[in-house]
Amino acid sequence: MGAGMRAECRGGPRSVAIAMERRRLRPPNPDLEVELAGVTLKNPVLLASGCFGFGPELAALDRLHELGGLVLKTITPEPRSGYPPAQRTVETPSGMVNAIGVENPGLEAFIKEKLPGVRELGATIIVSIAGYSTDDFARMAARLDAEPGIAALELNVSSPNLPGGGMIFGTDASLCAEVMREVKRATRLPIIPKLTPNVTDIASIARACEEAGADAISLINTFSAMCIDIETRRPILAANFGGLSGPAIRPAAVLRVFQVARAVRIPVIGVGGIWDWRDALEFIIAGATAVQVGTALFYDPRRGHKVVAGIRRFMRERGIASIKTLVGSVALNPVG
Amino acid sequence: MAPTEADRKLAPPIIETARVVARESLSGDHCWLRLHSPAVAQRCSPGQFVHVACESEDSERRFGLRKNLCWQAGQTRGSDLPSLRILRRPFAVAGIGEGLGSGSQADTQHLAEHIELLIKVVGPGSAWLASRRPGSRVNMMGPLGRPFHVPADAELALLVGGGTGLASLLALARYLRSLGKAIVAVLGARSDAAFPLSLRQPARSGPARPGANGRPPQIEELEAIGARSFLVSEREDGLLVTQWVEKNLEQLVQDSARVVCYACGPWGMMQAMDHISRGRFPCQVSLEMRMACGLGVCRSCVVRVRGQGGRTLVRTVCSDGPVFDAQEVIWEQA
Repeated sequence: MGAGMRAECRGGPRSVAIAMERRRLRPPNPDLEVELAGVTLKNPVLLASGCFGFGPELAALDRLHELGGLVLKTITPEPRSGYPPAQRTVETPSGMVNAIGVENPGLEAFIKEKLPGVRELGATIIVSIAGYSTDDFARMAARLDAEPGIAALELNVSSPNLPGGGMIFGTDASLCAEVMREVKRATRLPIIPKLTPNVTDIASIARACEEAGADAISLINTFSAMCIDIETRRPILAANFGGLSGPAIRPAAVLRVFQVARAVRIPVIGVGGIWDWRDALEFIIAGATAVQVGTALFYDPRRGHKVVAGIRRFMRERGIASIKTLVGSVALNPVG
Repeated sequence: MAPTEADRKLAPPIIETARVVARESLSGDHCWLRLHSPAVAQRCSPGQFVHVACESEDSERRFGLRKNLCWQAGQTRGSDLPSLRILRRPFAVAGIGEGLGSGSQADTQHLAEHIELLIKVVGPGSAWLASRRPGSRVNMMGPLGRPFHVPADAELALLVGGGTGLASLLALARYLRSLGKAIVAVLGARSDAAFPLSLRQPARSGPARPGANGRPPQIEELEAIGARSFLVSEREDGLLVTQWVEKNLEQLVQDSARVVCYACGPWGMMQAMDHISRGRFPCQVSLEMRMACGLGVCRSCVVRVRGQGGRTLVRTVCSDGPVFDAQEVIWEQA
């Protein structure tokens, strides 16, 4: 939290007359601040889990504290080396399928080796956790609760690449609710489940999470997917199956965000194939309080910043004072 | 001087839209591109690569046009997605500065404005890049990865390349030359026709200067660098390049006391070079792997390596590599 949460400073002291004159001549700086699970974000653009590592890797490229926040790569209780070092990603039309296998150093190594560097970024930090049991989630949450510099926890109950964990929780409303309840009991940090689209009715899962104490909801994680080499007749990914992300899934993600935003009262974070600021605004208008940029970072690690700049420009040009007025502002067409 | 490890830490990779200044079709599915990209060129070292956005066929024109129209009309519909291909493609830097044969790298590094790429068409992305004509623009991120290391006391460098592995060795050869090292280069391919550069053509008259007419470096240029160069093709010579190297090793390294080997090519070739070099001289290999981010964050391009005390470590080719000590690499990855 700290510096990352404060409102932007608008320059030094000026006389009232000059300030008024300037305000008259120039449209006011739009207010991008949003409230999310009791946390104030300076803008609604976060970087999605797994798409920028733990942060320091990209810090040289960008001023990460200027973003709304960072959702770190998912950590598990124990270290995981991920899937075999054969093909882990495959590009598909307007997207990609990945099966990395939640490669991460594990909870304790994360706290010892990664978290200090992450804190130095001065950004709002959301830690993503995943486990193989309700107890795993609760224990990790309790351990992280004691660590300073964490704004919230994202619960990865939706990874298709974590055998025995991840998506198993997110596809079952009661299991998902149980995880929320246990984690809520274990930590004071706001908790944000990240939901999978690989369910029949995502809104009912979201409602179950809300009732069980979730403070906000992220969606969507990747769609389960498969690519086959027609010559060898084998799956292209070493792990056989993976998760589809990128612009290919964006319209499907927008719909799900719309559905969930209508079904719950807690804030929704829209994720899925955001390539630029227009895409981010789609999610916000559909009902998302904040958005996450993921796969696009592989093309351009500065995408998050460009999205922020684009939203700001859009709002200024149209005289929209606050981003909050856009959230959920979609008006459906009358259907006869 | 090429940038040191510390310099690179301070100077992060940059994203630059480079202009294609020269292009030449080579044998087979290969082509040679020369790009004006001063920001990348000035921090680039041999062994590094650039991550190129290989957009769709007509995207350049349509992209620019559509964007302007959108702004004029105040439209916001449709994102500025440049193409269906959302991932960049990595290409080893094959030349830095004014090109091979035009003076030492030490002289030109700080003035370098161009980089050169050797492209083999393997899919729609590389096909798009290979079809770029002079004047067109290419967006790239770089330089990325850990470059080759040249030990100060090395006397002779043995370069072993296969296929497009030649690319990074060409850049390295020029750098080695600037350091005054003796160079022996052995290049392999399946057949004469598969050599990416028409290396077996008779020497042309006059010095070959890619800057002058966009001509790619030929073997005479490798030799102009001062490299004793050999070509081995599986079909014509009946030997794999590594078998040929092993057979002729004594003749190649002669009585040089401090040999360092650099290998870049197919996995099996580099594995064989590791085997050959064991106990004789150090060997660095430049690995190739499918990548997504190029920055070490997505963990797509991982290899297993032997760490201290024989511990198995997972490393990314894009940021921990692509250059590794051959002895570290665990060749049986499955």
